[in-house]
Amino acid sequence: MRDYRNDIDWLTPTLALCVWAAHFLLLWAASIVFPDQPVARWIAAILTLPALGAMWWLCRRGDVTSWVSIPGLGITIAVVGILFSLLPAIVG
Amino acid sequence: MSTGPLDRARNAMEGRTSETGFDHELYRLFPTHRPRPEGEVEELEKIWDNPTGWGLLTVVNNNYIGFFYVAAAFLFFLLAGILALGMRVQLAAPLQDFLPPDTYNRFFTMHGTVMMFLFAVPMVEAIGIMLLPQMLAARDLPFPRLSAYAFWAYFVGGLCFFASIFVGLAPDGGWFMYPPLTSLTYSPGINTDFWLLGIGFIEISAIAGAIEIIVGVLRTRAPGMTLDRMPMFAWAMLVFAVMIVIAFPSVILGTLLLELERAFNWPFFDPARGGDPLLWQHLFWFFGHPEVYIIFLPAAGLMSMMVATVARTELVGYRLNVLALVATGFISFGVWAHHMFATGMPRVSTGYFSAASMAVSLPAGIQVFCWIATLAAGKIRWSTPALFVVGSIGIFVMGGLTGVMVGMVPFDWQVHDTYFIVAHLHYVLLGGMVFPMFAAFYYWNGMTSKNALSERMGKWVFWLMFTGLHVTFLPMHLTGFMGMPRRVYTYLPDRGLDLLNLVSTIGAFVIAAGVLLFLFDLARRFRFTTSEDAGNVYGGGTLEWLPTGMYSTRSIPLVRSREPLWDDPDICDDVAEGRYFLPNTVTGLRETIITSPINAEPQYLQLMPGPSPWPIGAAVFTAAFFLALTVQAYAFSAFAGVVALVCVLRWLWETDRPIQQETADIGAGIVVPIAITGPSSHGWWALNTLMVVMGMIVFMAIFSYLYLYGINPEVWIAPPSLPQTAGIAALLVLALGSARLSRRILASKPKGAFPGQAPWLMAAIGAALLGAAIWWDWTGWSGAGLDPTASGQGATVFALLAFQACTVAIAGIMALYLGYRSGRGLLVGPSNVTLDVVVRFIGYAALQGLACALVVRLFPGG
Repeated sequence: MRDYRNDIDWLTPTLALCVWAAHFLLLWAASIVFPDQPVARWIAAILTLPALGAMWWLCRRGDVTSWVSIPGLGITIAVVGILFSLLPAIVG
Repeated sequence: MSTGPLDRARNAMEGRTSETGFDHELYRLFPTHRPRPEGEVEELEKIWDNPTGWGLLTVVNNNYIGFFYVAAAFLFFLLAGILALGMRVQLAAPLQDFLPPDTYNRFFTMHGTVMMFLFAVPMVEAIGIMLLPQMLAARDLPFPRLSAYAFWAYFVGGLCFFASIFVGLAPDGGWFMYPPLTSLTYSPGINTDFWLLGIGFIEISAIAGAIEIIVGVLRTRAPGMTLDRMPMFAWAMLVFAVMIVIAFPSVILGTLLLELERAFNWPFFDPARGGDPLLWQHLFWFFGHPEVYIIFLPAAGLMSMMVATVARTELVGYRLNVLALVATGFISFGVWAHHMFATGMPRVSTGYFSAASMAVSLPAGIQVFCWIATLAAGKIRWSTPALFVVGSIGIFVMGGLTGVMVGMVPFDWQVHDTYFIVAHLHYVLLGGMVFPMFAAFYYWNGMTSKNALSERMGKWVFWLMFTGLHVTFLPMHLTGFMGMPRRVYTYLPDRGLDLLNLVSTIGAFVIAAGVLLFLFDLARRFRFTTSEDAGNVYGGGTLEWLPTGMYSTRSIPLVRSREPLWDDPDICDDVAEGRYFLPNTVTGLRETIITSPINAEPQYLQLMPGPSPWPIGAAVFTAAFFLALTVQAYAFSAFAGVVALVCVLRWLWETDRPIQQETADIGAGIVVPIAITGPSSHGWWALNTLMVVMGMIVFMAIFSYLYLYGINPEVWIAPPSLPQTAGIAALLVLALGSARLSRRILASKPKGAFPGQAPWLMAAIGAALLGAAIWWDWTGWSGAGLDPTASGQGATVFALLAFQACTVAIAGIMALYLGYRSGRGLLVGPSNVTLDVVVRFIGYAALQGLACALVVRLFPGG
């Protein structure tokens, strides 16, 4: 019999992108609360750690069979986005 | 094994447990083999029949409303295109006087506004309303009257808005209406008010459509159509609608705030009194940039479906494509301030938005590569849709590349507000939306017309439009590099701009020639029909190509793959012979099957409303309400508002009908309940979505408060006393408890028993407590000396209170409506949809009131 159940873990990539969104908004908020101050850059660096930690947790909990699976790629895109966001705080 | 919330959610997402307890073995019963009784199709036709003549104004069925919607959006495309031609004639040579400066300002403002607000978003929403029910094999979308209201509100409001150009009242501040140019000082007439109230109103219609689409995609899919089997267009429309729900409240709030500033002198954007014009830019672009993806993603969904058909193979990377849609939706919310690089934002901030602007090209690129791979994997049949599809990929990639260029801050500083940006955005929007739309017109024309459009003429249309686009916009990159600014009605001779502008003007007329040819073909070949259509001309494999009538498909099929028509050659006959779900009408009314959101398991039978004059009545008077506000006819505005409200309540009156029959056999002996309440019901999902919209408005209002607080905290005053805050919170908690108690009272009654007046009275007490809380909050701030006209703090606090007051007023009206229904004996135990909605709305209003009351006190001045 054909399977009539959804067999793709869409929740993990969605949560990973939620983490990216939260990380992005907090970094931006810090940058306008402390405009052109080093503390904004430090906050960005510090906030990146729990964001990456959340990604690691999602990897462990999600159905990440490989990096080319949908959950794996979703997490990869989110991690790239998070590291990309951190970049201006380091070199910008 | 862990059983935490995430595990449970994931198990449901992955289908390791049934969502509803439905036994999948029952699917083996389909297709059924017993012959169906005579007369079932005739009965379906009778029930789903629609009035004719003037009665067409009352139709709510998606076949008609979707068609009206598409036609209206295309009309606005033509009107805005004519404005563009006028501008190009003016710019064909230097120092021309074809359009005076003021008229030119109105032309470019109306061109941008109409294209973005009256054409692009409504068009994709219209295509969704037209195609989705058939694509999902539902009888109709779940709230047909809401669709009708959304369309008429948009159409009437849009026509009134466009008519402003003929009486010299069209807005002239650019499509993004930046203050202080649009403040009362610099734009003293009512032109700007037309834009603010008109667009705010039209956005409400877009949100109504988005709620319909979210619930429709998640809850009315054919059984067996798991998330993994959804057509790409349905996925795209789901992401699109969610993005509307998140993004549009921001522009609705922005237009309200600017209108409040203009009408009542509340200084949200006046830096002299603690406001900030950049707040408008944040509010506008938080909507404005996701808007580009809101337009692009549904078109990408259409592209993904057409690419598979023109290449005659399955879409390569279906799941990757879905992931890319979702990721694009998310990341597009992180790019809004790249429109503000030239405003002097902190350096690190600009870096974040620059990085996100480049990151968003990753998922967009995934989609493009999936399409290219599909075309490469299959065998292309070079039909007209194929030409438009392939052409749009090339155009969109060109626009995307220049997008990455302007995402870089130093480059953006150089080309900001020049014709380079005009070229970039037109490549993106024409390649990302207009060309896919024309492809879709040709591809899906067979669903609604007796005759297919001409292939030969279609190819001419494509080549004229494709050539014209490049002739028009490619030179604009150069004029931009040479420093020609946007939105200026002329230029000086001998600056090297003459020839390039002339070429652009010629190109614009070549595009127009393509569109004219399309119109000619349309007039020659297109004949609207709902039954004798030209059919599946290009050989698509999805469900919209099943044989249909006004009731959609005769029976609702069991979906076993992504392209059922390719994989099951018998499915068309089986569906037409009634061998699947709901081959007849069970209750003698319009009905469809509601399925679970992830695995699409049958849950219950929804009764659907038929034609009604009330949605169009509500739409016309809502438009009149906003129009009268614009011209400051406040008494008539109040009258129109009351009539609109009465129309809405009257249309809702029939949608919660008590019915004796409790269950229904939906085929093969499978029995489901009829019209349920609670978290499994589609109404629950719709109300939740509405609450998200309202919550986003409050969220953005709180953002505005905090943004202004961050600029001038020293001039802010101290809040009212702590005991008052505690009192307001207590009132709101009591309101929440009172509303919930009303539901408990009703739930304690046996089936069909009348519970007396207690349930609605408890709900009304809840609404009254909400009213007391907002009154106390308002007078508290007034008593503390806060004046809405004095400072940014006063303006934002009273804006929040005004929004809460409106929410409370709605809760009060709902409670009275419930009381009226109770008085007519329509409120019977143990559960009732209307009461459920009222109780949950009062609960939401209480929580919103708590947020509004507490947050503004956490960041006080003084």
